[in-house]
Amino acid sequence: MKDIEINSKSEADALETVCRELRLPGEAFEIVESKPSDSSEAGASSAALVIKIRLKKDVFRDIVRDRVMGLLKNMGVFAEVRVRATEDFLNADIYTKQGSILIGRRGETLDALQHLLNRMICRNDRDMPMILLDVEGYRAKIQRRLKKIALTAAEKAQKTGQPSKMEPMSPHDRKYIHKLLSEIEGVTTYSMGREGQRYVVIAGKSTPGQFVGEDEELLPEFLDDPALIKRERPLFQKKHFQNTRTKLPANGNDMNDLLIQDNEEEKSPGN
Amino acid sequence: MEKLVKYIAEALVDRPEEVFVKSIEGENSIIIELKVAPDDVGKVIGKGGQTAKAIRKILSAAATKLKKKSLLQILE
Repeated sequence: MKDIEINSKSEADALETVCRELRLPGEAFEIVESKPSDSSEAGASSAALVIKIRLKKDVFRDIVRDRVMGLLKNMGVFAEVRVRATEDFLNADIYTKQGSILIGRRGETLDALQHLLNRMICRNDRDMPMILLDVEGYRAKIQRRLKKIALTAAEKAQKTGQPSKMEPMSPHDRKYIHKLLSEIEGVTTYSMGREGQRYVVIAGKSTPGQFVGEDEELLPEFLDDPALIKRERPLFQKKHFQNTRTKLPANGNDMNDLLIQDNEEEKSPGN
Repeated sequence: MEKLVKYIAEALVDRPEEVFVKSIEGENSIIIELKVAPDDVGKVIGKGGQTAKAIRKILSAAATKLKKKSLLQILE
């Protein structure tokens, strides 16, 4: 969790601003540092102090727990809630007998609850930790399943070099797969697809002709790790194929066949 | 149900005192109308309607318990 830095006339002023902005009580924060602002940098602004404010983790934890309990109570669900803070996230685990209601089809209700909770507490502030909601270990279960699928696909990519697409999933899950497979040699992962429908592709490193026949439009947006993906950009391979074809006019048909075969293989990578 | 929407909306908006919720309950369905301050409508709807979608999802989950269908209308 990052500290909040704010320019203000006094410490009390700064605290009030932050509380109003984030709609949290004053006791949730503590002032870590307060020093006079660099006037040359701030120009002629009225701010006299640069104040660093930190969110108290234990108080924040209680706020989150109260919110989750409040939501569930209003839904008519009896539950126990445990909140623990990890380095980047705040995990709120719900224990209840009525778990199926809270999870919904493929975890949709759980995702909705998590989304609302984050909006309710953190608003849209990026400095606030993200709240991860779980019911009766559901997410952990899904993550184990995800791990199994990803590892199977990675093995396949290692052996055959064939890329496989995974189902569209949340940024959090995609990140998990990227991280998981980054430790496995000979396998590379990248995300493709449009926002909201982005999915992970698991491929062998140095797979020739990976994208041959793919539409230019469908190329990945390289959002997740541009450095990693750039190397995999296959445009030169496409050219390579064309060159061979023009160089060997006698074998032109054979090469064509090869190309088509290649394409067909790529179109059914999921099997 | 009315209380649930009110609870969620009040936590989302900047002006909780301007949140009004009205519900019309039928035999098999429940219609809930939500009215917030004009500046807060965006917060209730969210980016690409994501927050509104989430509220509806939770409402329908809560309504399933009562064996009813729910409909949430956000009034301008």
